[in-house]
Amino acid sequence: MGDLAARLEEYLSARIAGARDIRVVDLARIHGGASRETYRFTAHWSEDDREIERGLILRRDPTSSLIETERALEFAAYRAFHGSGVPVPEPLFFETDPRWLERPFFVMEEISGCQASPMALAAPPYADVRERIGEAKWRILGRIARMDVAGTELARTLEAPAPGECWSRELAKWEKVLDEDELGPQPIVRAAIRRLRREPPSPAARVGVVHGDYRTGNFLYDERGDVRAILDWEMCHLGDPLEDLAWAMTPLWAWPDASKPGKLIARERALALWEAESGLNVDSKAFAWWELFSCVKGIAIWTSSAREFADGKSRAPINVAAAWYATDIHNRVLVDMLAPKVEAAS
Amino acid sequence: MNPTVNDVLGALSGHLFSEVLPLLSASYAQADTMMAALLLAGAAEEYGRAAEVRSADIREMRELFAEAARRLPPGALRDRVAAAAAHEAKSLRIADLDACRDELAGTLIALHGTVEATRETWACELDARIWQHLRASTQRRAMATSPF
Repeated sequence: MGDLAARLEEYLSARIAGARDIRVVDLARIHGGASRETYRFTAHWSEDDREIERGLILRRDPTSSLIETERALEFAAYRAFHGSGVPVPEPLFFETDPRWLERPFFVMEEISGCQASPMALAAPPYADVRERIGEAKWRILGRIARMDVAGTELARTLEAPAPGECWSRELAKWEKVLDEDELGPQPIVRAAIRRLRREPPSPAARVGVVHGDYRTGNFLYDERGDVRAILDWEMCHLGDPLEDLAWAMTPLWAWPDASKPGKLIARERALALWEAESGLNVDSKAFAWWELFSCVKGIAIWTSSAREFADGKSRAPINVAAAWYATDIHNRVLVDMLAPKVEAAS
Repeated sequence: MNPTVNDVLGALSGHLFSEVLPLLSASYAQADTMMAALLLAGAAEEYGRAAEVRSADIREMRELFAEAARRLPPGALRDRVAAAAAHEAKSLRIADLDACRDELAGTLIALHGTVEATRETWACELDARIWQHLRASTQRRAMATSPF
């Protein structure tokens, strides 16, 4: 850790104009980011006869991760949304030159005094403000769906699909992940993919920004119940906003009680808040398609983590937890979604 | 008799939770240790049932294939399904049971796709039976605890 701090001091000295005597202290790795190594630290420096202290976050590409993502994408998303009605940390530096920290990384502002863990919502002080957090969560997702990113670096980074192609592009992407990474045949998820292809959804009402992993656990909230920052934008893309809504509501994040998605507020209330903020109506048939798709996407991600572990690219326990527990739950959800229709027809 | 493997794994999991975790100060180490303890509990659960879960999957799929082989028209799929109905694991080792299960699951995917596309009564009934098997299989494999 000492070497990393010294290298960070060297980097920040080169990047912050006018800064002198930069010191990096309290550098500590934060758990949870499987797709990036995440560290918290405090930087001290002198500038124009002032002493400055700032809490910062370092996000560095790991040697391997659950999802292979475009490294510039997350930084571009933070830049596009910073200062908008969608709270995100201020992005500061993005670096691809390996001479600094061996792998690409970026540095952003630390939002202090917050919590991200879904488990913390079960006890005071956060249990007391869960309704407020829930309302903010679904409203912000509506704002993401409404956001016009035209002219931003993010828009230049992302390819916009036609409204009728959103579903097929995403389905093909995650089916390919399954094809490439699965350790053994998975009849349930393959049946789900066939169903999704047989019964496609209506075209997207709007092609907008899709966060890609919007869920409880990927935003920071405080004791007042304010959502202070939306994090983990590495799977961000343009597509049907219903994709984000369905992923955020997939039963895994509220297991075993899906009536309060993300363990926050009632599903009906969440849908109403999202509709009001996004200006979109939830087409129930199309939404059912995206909910089924969310399970397929989930299993593809958990399959990737199983592959990472099995191949020895990453022996992190989180990879096994995803492979065992999340796959188990998503398979059970898929069976409950798919089997009744067949059983009723036979 | 020596302690069973699932008992040992369960005890190790409990030891990490109750004895080691409270001593850790770094949040990253705490979270990683908690995850390791959870996985040991999952491994304990899996150890006790691993052979039974796999054997039941294999038995049920072979029964489905025997039924399907009587119904399918002559062709490559029927030959494959008929062969799968007689397929057996090389031994009771978990790796061999897994290999057998994977072989049969690949055949099941091919059969299921064909059954779905065949709108005849026998195919609808077989489709429902396949889902009964898939439901039973997920129930057998369901984990008692969850980090989510």
